[in-house]
Amino acid sequence: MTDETDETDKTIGTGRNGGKGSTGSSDEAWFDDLYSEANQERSPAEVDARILQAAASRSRRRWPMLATAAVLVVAAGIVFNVPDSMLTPPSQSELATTATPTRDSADAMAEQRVQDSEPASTGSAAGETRAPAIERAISGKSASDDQELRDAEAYASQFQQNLRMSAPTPAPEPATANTVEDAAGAPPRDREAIDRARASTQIADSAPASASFEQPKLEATQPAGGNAVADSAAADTPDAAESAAVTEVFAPRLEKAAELEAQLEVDSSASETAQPPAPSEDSAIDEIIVTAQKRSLASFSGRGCPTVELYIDSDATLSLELRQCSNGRWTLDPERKYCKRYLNVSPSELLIEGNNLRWAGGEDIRCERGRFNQPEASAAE
Amino acid sequence: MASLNNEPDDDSLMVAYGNGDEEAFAQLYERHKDATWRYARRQLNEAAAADCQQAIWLKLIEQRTGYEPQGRFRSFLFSLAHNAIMDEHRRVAKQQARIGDTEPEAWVDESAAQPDLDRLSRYRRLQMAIKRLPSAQRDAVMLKAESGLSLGQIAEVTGSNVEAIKSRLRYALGKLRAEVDGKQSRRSGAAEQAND
Repeated sequence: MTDETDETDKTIGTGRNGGKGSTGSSDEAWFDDLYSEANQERSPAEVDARILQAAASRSRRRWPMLATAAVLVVAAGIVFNVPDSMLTPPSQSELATTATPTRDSADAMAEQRVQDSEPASTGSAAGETRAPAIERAISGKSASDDQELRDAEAYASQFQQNLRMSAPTPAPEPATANTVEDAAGAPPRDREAIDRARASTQIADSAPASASFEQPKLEATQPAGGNAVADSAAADTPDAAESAAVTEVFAPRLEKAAELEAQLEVDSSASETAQPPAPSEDSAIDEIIVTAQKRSLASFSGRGCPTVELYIDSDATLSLELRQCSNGRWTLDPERKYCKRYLNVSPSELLIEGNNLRWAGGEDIRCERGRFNQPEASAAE
Repeated sequence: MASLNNEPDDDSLMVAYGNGDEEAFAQLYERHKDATWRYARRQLNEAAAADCQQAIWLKLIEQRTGYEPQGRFRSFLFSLAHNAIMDEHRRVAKQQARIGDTEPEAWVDESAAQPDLDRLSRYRRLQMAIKRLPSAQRDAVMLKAESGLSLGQIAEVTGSNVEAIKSRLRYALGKLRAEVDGKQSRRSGAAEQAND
């Protein structure tokens, strides 16, 4: 490739950004004059808005992940290993609501757990347990490159593993695509169950009742076994009441940490794996990325279908680009090319089945006479 | 890497956007969106041009982190634009072959078939004449008009060579002038046999 400035003398005529060319002819001068008279046509505002929204969305995508990772570290520190300065002690009111003997005993127990769980949870010395990317995230430094994101994801994965190991009893695995069949107990072998499990983890903000990541609880009566934390809990707990008090204080934080971690996992996996999202009522979701399932594209020629992106706005409407995978490309319905491309629908109304987008009610989104037959008149056009 | 008027250059903006600066992208888009739009619009109908415009810039967004600033942003951008338009041409051609569509090709406006050109402005006639050019000539003309690239860069973008681009431009411009103003240049007769 040549530099943009090295051949300007070869430019024909007087282009919008170019000078008089050495090969200029009367035809070229005529064209330049005429074209420059009226080349005021502007990119449509609707297209501009879409593109700018997409650009902003892509830029923002990293920050929730890093912010989540930062919060995750704090939560992890509370549970496992954190300098005193970072540990937020249980409030007096929290302790007062429990049947705990004293706050000191709870703190002492937490400290004991921290000491006992250090090797299992971090494998490194105290103070060196946070991933570099997360350190940067906390300190407010920019962490925009992919390597840092991978670091954060790796750390989250490590944390998740530690969290599972620390549970007194085997906790259900988060039902991700890779782990659903490895989960404790009878694995869901049927396809439908796997899909449901995947969907439940795809939607990070699912209601707690339906969330697949069931947080392990610290129970005083649980048998010690399998890991340092559990062992220490069993050995150091003098009575059930004290243990229950600690559980009550720390369990919410554990749950929050797991919830954030699950969300982080969704952020990182959604752009890499082919998982259809399930409908969700939650309006806090910023974005869902659905990558076409390669196996379903095997019959298509061409270069395969690119990513389909569904943007959920803050007002819980979904900007949906309706396309079908045809001849290796996502296209509008070939029968009616002139439909508007974006709809606003509630996320709960949307189902994705393979390469097709459907309403939850079962009715296909079809383009007819230049319009989508969506319910009501919710088109964003 | 800033220009004389202290405006950051395209490369700087692209790098900044790669680092998460949304405003940098907004500036880049504002600078070049109309050029890419016109480049696509002169070769496609409005709906297809809108698709292409979106495809061009989304592709750029996807490649924001891998962009290497070498002072060739416009070449990079119009390479994306050229590829997007070629993809659209191929897609429409396949679609027509598959469904036996008898409609005009998607990138040809219905208005282009209207015979009463006298009522249209010269520029409008120029637009329509551009649409009737062979695709390779039309692409070269629009790249020349909108991108500000040199002939060498246009050749790079289109995967051609400088001499071929020169030839296409000569034939295309002669033909355009003949159609719009009825003035037959010396070369316009040869333009009928213009290469693609």
